[in-house]
Amino acid sequence: MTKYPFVTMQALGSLFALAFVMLIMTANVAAEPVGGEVPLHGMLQQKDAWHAYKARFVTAQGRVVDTANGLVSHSEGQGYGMLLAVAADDRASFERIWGWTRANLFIRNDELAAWRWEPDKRPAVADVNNASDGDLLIAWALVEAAAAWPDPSYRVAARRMALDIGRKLVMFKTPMGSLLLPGASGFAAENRPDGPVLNLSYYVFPAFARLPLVAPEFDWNSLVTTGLRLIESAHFGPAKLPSDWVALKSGQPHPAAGFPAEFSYNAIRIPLYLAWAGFDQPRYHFSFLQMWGKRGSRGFPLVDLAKGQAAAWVEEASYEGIPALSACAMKGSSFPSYLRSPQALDHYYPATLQLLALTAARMRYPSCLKD
Amino acid sequence: MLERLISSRARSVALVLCFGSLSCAQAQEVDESALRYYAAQGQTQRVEAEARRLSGLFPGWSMPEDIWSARLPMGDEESLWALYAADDLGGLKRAIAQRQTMEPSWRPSDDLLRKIKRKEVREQILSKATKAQWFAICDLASERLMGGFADDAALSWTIAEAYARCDRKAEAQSIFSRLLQRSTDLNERRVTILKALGALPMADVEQLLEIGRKTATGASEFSELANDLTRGRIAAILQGEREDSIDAAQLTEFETYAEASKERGAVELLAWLALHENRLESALKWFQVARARGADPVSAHGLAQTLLRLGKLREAEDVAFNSRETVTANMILFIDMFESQLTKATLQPIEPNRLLRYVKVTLEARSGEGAQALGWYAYKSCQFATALDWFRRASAWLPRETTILGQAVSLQRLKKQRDFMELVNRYDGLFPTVVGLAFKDESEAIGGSCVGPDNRAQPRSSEVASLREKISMMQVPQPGNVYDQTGASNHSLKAKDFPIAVASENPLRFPDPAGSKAKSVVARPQDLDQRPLIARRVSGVVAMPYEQSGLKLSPSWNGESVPSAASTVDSAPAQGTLASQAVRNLPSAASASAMLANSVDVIGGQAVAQRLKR
Repeated sequence: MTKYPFVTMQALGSLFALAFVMLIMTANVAAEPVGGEVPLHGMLQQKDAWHAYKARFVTAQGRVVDTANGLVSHSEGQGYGMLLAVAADDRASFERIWGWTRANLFIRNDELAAWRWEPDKRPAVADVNNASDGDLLIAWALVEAAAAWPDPSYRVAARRMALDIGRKLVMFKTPMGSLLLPGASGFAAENRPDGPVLNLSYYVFPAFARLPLVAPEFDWNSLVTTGLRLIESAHFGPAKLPSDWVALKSGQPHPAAGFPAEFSYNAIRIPLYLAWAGFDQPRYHFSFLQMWGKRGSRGFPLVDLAKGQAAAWVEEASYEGIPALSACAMKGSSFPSYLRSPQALDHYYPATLQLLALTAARMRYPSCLKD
Repeated sequence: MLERLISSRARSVALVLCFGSLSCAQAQEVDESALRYYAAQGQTQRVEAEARRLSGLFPGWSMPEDIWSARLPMGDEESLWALYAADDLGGLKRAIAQRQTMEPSWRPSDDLLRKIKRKEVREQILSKATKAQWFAICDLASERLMGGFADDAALSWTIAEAYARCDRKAEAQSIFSRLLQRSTDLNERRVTILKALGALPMADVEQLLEIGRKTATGASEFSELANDLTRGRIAAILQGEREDSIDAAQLTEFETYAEASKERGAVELLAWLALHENRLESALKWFQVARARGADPVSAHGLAQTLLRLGKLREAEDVAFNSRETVTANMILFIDMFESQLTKATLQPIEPNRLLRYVKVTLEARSGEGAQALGWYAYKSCQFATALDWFRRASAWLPRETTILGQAVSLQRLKKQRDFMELVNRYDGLFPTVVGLAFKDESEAIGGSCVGPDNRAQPRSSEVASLREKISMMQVPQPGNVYDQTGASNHSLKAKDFPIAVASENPLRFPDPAGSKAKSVVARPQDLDQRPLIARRVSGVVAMPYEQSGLKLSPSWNGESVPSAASTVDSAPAQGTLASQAVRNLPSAASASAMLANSVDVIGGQAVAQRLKR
């Protein structure tokens, strides 16, 4: 009777109740996936880098500006700014960015953000559709803010957003698993001949580990398992890399019609989110690192998937934060010291990715930052 | 010769009968170490006992022909194997290192090395399970490993749980199934079912139950687990895995148990099930029992939902309000309930204390929903300055079309022409109802009849006293006192104020965050006189009212030139989403409170069920 702890407890009444209690007791120890319980707060320790970032990309009103793209703003950028503010333990900046975000992007009749805002246009909102990654990033940042600072409003807003993400943007029970639509309108099977069309870089894996804190009724982990499977099967062309946009009409991912079949600015974030969520296994990072290993000194390649060759080279050094994080996750490589401080001339997007990679490395692989 | 013997000792491969996904013809490695050890020592009875054990585990296995003739490398690795058998891997490694120091050319047998490695993996897996690193376990586990530990129930349970969480439920099911096929230990078999309950959908567990044996009386060997199985079946219903009801006899038995025991989990499940099946009186009873037993905070949400559906609005409000700090879902429910209350077509008087509670929670939660509801309530009772104050907060927190509309008509009523026109121009191209106000003053038509100090329709004298009393009850607290009714400009509405150039950003923030005066070199606002006067098309927005007279908008950001036929925000949700199912299932004649309950949180019980499954 003492071989199995559960069995000894049978005498008390219900085996299942005890198993349940024990599982509940361990549930707070760790969440899904690996290391999902690590809070973001305080993980960006390079305060100078954050101050430089704010000065260059965040307006006094709290708008995060895409400096390479007509000074527009995206829900995604606001989400990144909010996450970085929590990571840098900068509540005032978080308030500024969140304040701008809700005052200017939450114009829909639900709890999702309009995805694109252009400062010199009448009106500034360009499209009432949302972008699911932007919503996930904002909701995740609110969860982290609620964990960092005592303010019920963060938790309320996070839950309201998570409920609409779960209800309107996820198809939980398809034969292919849980599919995250890139937006509430325009990407489903009924909207496109090759639909549903997905963007695998919208699977923000570290967010799925934290949203259960505010909306436990959804099976967020099913997005993790499906996302991992889709990323592993979206190996297109000689380079075996995913395209930015994939079509799932046939049940298997293919590059989506109407978008360039390229591993480009969107998909480069896939290894970032994988590593950030603790997925460090070689099978997730190998093809990315193999492609990046061939880049020499020409910059950062965007890949034409049919040819398996670079379609363009991007010079901004901040992009190197992502290969650095991938190598750190997969091989324990040291995060290069030049990527621990900002590159003075780089634009919003690479500069953001660099700080995110640095934050992810601190959260999941601190040994890469030791020397 | 020695190597050949070592090899034969360890690597006897038998064709064994397997189950599930481990295909039946598959060669599996059978660990004959103990068998051969006993044989080498001439311990006949132990050899026979071990052979029986192996036959039970691997039905296709047979005794090796050389069992009595093969020699073990006695004196060579025996002490090492003893350490291995004692699970002392640290001691074993030290012993190997020590021997290699003394005999540099010596190396352990491949068999020993392989088995050490396998045992290390086992330890890693069990260690990772304590940290819930299920994906890592899925990578470590393999069929080969399982073959080496086929009778290791603890390891099998762990790997099965990991597979279930890694989207490999069929493999998890196979492992549970194999354990049930092999094990003769009743306790172990029961725990296997309990483990499967926590890991697999109930339908898969039902299949496992069919492997169960019958006792002498003809009952299932798992009959002692009846209540646990009922829990699993209730969880399956709450999680939408099955749509039928639970067997009445099973439910009665479980209810009897729940009442008699002091356990709160069983009571909570019964409460959520009753709520799910709309047996509201029963739900109320079980939630109250759960509460008395110190229920999980989320039960307060179930209780509030039940009271709401029973039409006990005040009680539901009290429960939601009192538990709002521990249950975010109840803070949201409380706000949604008073939002519904305050925005009814017919204005209902609300006592000051209750209104104060709405105000308090709206400010705590910085809720756009709450603020706009207070705004409309104040507006409809002709407290326009107060209404404006609330609408400004709502616009800072959730600037939807109805909120901006409320802010605009409040500005009209207060004759704040300049602010009104700035607002209307800011939302040109986006919110047609707001733009329409520039051409036609709808401020008296919008929001219904005005009940309050400014009431145009004077009541008959007999009604004056009660109306005054009602109005005094409806005084909405003003959060900021930003505007008052004096000093309003009498500037009348003029269409010439439209279009005018205005700043595109919504500047409202409540509270005004520290650092908002921070200097930034980024993206200074464009001069107003350079701003466009013609709106552009916004993707997903219907036509602006002035387009009827032939005015054209500039193309959208992606080149669209025609307006949407219907607002995409209000269009049907994508098929396959929960929102699309909710729309389909909503009863057409549902009462307002049921609609509210549906819209707020139709899946509260799933959170509990989800947790139960872990």
